[in-house]
Amino acid sequence: MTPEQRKELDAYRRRSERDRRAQESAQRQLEELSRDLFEANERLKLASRGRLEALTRVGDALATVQDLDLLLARILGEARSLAGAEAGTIYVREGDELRFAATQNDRLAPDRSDALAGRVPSDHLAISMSSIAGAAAISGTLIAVPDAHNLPEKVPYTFDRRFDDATGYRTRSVLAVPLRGQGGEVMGVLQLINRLDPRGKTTVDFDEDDQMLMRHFAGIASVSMERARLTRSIITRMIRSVELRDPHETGAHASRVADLSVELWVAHATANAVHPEEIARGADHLRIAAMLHDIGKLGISDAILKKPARLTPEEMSQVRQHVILGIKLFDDVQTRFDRHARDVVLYHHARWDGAGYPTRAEVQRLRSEHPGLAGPDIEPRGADIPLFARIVAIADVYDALISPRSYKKAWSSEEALDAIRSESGRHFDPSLAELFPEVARRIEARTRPEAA
Amino acid sequence: MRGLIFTEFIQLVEEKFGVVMADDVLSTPGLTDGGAYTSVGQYPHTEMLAMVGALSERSGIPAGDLCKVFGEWLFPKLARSFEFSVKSHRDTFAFLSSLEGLIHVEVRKLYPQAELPSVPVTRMDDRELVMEYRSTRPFADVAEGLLRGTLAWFGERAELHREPLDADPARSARFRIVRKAAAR
Repeated sequence: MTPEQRKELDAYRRRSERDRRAQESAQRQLEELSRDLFEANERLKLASRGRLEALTRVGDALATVQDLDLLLARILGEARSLAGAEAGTIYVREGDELRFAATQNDRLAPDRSDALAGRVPSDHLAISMSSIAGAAAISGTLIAVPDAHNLPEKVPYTFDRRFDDATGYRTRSVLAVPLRGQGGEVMGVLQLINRLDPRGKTTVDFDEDDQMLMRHFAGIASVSMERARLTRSIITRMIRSVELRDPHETGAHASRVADLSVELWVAHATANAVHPEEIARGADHLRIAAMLHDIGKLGISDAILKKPARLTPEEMSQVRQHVILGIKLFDDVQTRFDRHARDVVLYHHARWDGAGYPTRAEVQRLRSEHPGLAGPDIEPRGADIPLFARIVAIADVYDALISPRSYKKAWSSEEALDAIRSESGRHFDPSLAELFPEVARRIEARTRPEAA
Repeated sequence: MRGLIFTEFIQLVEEKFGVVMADDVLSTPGLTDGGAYTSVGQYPHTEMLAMVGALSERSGIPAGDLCKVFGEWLFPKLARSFEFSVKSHRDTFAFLSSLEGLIHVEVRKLYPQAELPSVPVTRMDDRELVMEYRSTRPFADVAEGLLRGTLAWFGERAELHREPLDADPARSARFRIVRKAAAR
């Protein structure tokens, strides 16, 4: 054998040795790969099943919420928990602008979203390319960015950094999803901010799965939004028709009473350890019921409602009829909501000491004239008065006091709170009257950001 | 770097220079597992550079020329492995235009850790295409070979011009492809 032949033989020997080792290592790598794949597949299956279940659950939950504001807050909360986002905002389209309808941020306001009120630089945003949400509204498509402060050069929109500048918050990953109505029109934008990795330590991108999930979620949320908008517009029209008759009962008054009532309910229910689900459902019903509390004024004559002078005792007794007239709208009580609304309409002028109206005799007469109409057979006094009616009573009086009327100036909130306090146990439920000042101050801080 | 590139390189060396040269090259010190590469593995690109250097030293052929030959030889092998990605395009220009937006996107899905070169393409007109190659690794010569291999695979006659792009000519190049005849 020549040296060349020996060399070649050695080379072949080493080559087959290398081939054997390579084969072994390929086998190992393939086994590892297949194990990784199997595990990844199992994780995916679990994750997608979990998310699908969550999506179905959310759809069911959203379908039960009647009130638009509560619904929007709920949509935002559910979207954030599905996608694992630290913060988020829901914008509602109003003409050429987007209005901040709900904002949540676990870092800046871990307990409640109110802490953000007054820190949002402006509650409106132009629908333009100068914000990510605006761009999502214009394009009607979902936009995902890994870092809002370092957008790629080629994107046509910019990031509106005013919120970060005002609060010191650092927005990184953003997912903006348009909320479209049945006709395809953009009703608003759901914007999720800073997806946290499951350990909650670092911010990560919204990946394709999140985007897919949020596309489906936005579809479900949009349907509930349209439904709640319809409910809201029907109620607004009902309130406006009262407003046409009685200039004092404005839509603004109705929604302030609703705000105060809901807040007082939440404070009361929280103090009494009511289950959070029940608190949310109660708030939903109460808000709409409170907005409609004076709906019976539709049945009172103009001569009385628009009378510029003090009413005679006879006229007063006619005005008192509005609580009786109002419940005729709820003569087909079927749901818990109907019952709550009827209670509020009928008893929001009842007094804790029993000196309010309607009287038990009046309600009994109503029942004899219209069987199946009136509410429970109770002595309208103390804790027998339905809780929601006791709540609206305080909110209604307080807002009337701090509003100007033709026959009186607006009271300061301190004067009005003194009046509520002095009527505790007489006109009002003492336990609610005690909670009320804090509630009123919180609402005031929220509606007047500059005072916060 | 994907193991497939390593196994193909050894294949080429064995085919062109024989099993003894391949054995010599694989005996270069510092190679993973003594050069027992597998196509499904993942290896440092510096080992590829070391092998090209060793082959150049032993054969007397400049490393750059070896890289070009390797690239040209490699393309049809890759095209066979990823047949659909190539066959779905009607010509070289269409294929190269889809490289960054489609093919590299797919590669990233399979191998998230892959460090791919940037290869943006500009179609000047029906006859001329410009590709700007930039990589963190010095494989512009391999890229040139791959482009020649692509033209050959699609059976097209064209001139390939290479111009410097950035300071490092091994890590960047501007390739201009000018078709000799009108498209098909």
